[in-house]
Amino acid sequence: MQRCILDASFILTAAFDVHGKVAKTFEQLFQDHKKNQNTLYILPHTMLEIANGLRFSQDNEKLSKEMMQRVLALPLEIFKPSLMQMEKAIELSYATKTTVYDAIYHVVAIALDGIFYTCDKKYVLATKGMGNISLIEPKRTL
Amino acid sequence: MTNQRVTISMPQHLYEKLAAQIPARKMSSVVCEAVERYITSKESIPPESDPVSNFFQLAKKMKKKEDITIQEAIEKGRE
Repeated sequence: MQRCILDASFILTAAFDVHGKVAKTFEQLFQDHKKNQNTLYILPHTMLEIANGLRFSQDNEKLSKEMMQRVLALPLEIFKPSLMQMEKAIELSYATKTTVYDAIYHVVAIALDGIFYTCDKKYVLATKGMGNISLIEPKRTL
Repeated sequence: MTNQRVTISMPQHLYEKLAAQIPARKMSSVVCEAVERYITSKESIPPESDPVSNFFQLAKKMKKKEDITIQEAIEKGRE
């Protein structure tokens, strides 16, 4: 069974780029999940990142709150990183000049032998050559 | 209208706040109102559709953004 670690950029870009590649990949992952072909993980801080992303990208407070509810209803498991994984994330963030917020997703993906799904191109470029990561680039519609 | 008697448990801190604001005789009506609000909010989401469809259904009503803007929104306030 495939283990997929989703970050806030992947989830929010799927929402705001409905007809693009990100939404399609997102839907496919959840279809596979229904067939028990994968486990979809987020991390403890992912929901906060999504809430902040909604807060600073959408004007409509009511819709943002509704969207938060709907994200919470998705069949996502919250993975709590171990102390060793947190240390690895600090190590990786120093080595790649990235943030621990981002590096921890990658560390967990490596630890679970899974794939980290992200739309954060800057992070992917910074960790160039490392495995266990999939950059999902949105279709430009704007 | 007939009533069903129920026993509920809640965290101590929550009970203390509730008890400080609501007289004991009004406790049931306040809890009923909260439950009704909860049920109403859940009913606004079509129960027959799946969570992914619900997610995209609402997403259609929201503003489209560039991925860079979304990333900046996620990271805003971190520094």
